[in-house]
Amino acid sequence: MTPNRKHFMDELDDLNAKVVKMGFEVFSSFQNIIKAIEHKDNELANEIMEKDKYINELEVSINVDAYLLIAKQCPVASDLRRIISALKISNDLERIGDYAVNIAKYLVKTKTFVDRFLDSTISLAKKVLVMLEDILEAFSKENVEKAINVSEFDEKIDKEYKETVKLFIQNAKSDDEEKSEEAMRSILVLKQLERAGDHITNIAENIVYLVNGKRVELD
Amino acid sequence: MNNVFNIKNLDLFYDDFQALKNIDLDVEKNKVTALIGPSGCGKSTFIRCLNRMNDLIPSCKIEGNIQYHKEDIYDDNYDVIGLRTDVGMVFQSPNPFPMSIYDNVAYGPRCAGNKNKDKLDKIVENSLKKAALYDEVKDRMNDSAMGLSGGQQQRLCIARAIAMEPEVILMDEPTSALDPIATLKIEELINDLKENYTIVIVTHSMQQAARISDKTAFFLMGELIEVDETDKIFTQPSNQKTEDYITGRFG
Repeated sequence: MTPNRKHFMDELDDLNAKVVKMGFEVFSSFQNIIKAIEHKDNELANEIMEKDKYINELEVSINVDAYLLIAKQCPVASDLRRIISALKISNDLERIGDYAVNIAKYLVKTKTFVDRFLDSTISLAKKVLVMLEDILEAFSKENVEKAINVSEFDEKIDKEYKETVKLFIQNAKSDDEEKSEEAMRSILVLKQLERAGDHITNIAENIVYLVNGKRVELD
Repeated sequence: MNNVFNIKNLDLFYDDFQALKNIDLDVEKNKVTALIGPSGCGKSTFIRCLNRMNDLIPSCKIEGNIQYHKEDIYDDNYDVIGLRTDVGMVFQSPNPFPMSIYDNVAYGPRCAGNKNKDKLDKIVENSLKKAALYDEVKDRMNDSAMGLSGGQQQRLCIARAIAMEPEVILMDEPTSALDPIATLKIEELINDLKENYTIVIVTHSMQQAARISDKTAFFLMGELIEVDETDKIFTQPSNQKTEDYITGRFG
């Protein structure tokens, strides 16, 4: 006997799989960001910008699938939460992808970096990468504990961001206009990584909602 | 386009009352086409035209053209028995014959002249499997079909239709007499059946049409207001009347 609503369950699984796929595309963009910074590889930075179109298409496709499932299947309870979570998580992933693009654009435009920029940015970007990998695993396995741990890790990113920004502000106060401007831009790059961490925390909140049906504020 | 039925300019009258007005509709092969609309809109009347069930109503008069594989089924020389073999039907209330489960499914093939026991056994088993009922009844094939639950009886009726190896199965509100779980089982079954059959279903439940059909046709007061892909009808219908009906603003 076919289990009840097998076709609907299959469609829900497909939706989930698409979210995970989108997550790994964003993950790979951040991997490339680190490589592009390390090797000052502008070609790779351009590839990141190009790939963002595909990430955006995936988000649109998830939206269309989710709307159709809502319109046609009248989902309730955990089914409804799953669809709402897919919509919200894909929205966060799209934003995180945009942050990678912003950093890539900066890398292409910039000829020289301020002191300690490379080390600081790579350090933060690696932390974002760890968070991304863990949050995708938490989503796939619907592991609330892991999701909460990931959100707690965001505090480390926030702390490191604030400390680095303080340093760069000192540089920004320099009389050398070019150096000052460069420091300001570097702060903006770090801000992208800090915001990526915040969106990953949003994803963690949505995983808790997906599994427990409870809205929590993790920060 | 791979169409099984092509309906053109169909008008249907019960005496002076016009129940269907100038209907144009194509039924695609291996697709589920759902007919929705309020009571009295003509959807059941329409589906009964497809295997000439309306022939049994003396006051019923049909004009226009219904082609099944490009042949006019209302032609005087058309083989109606053959049509009803190819185009099976399942009704609103489960209507098993007062005989055993096995005999219900074997009834059609026997009437068609099939007397070979082994062949009949195979047909009955396959039909019950396709109707997702076999596992539930395999140990009591000789029990009366009347002892089955409503949902099981309806799946038995589907098995009975399948036993004749039809190409098309017409379903006239097949779940309106069933509880929600039995309804979901039938819906799941319809989703599976469309691999091998073309299904036209009349349903009072818009959600059912949305869940199971590929195409949806909206009828209102004997007119076909809109027919389109179900995805489109339930997200962005073209006609305001369809929008009003599916959003519950109608009437």
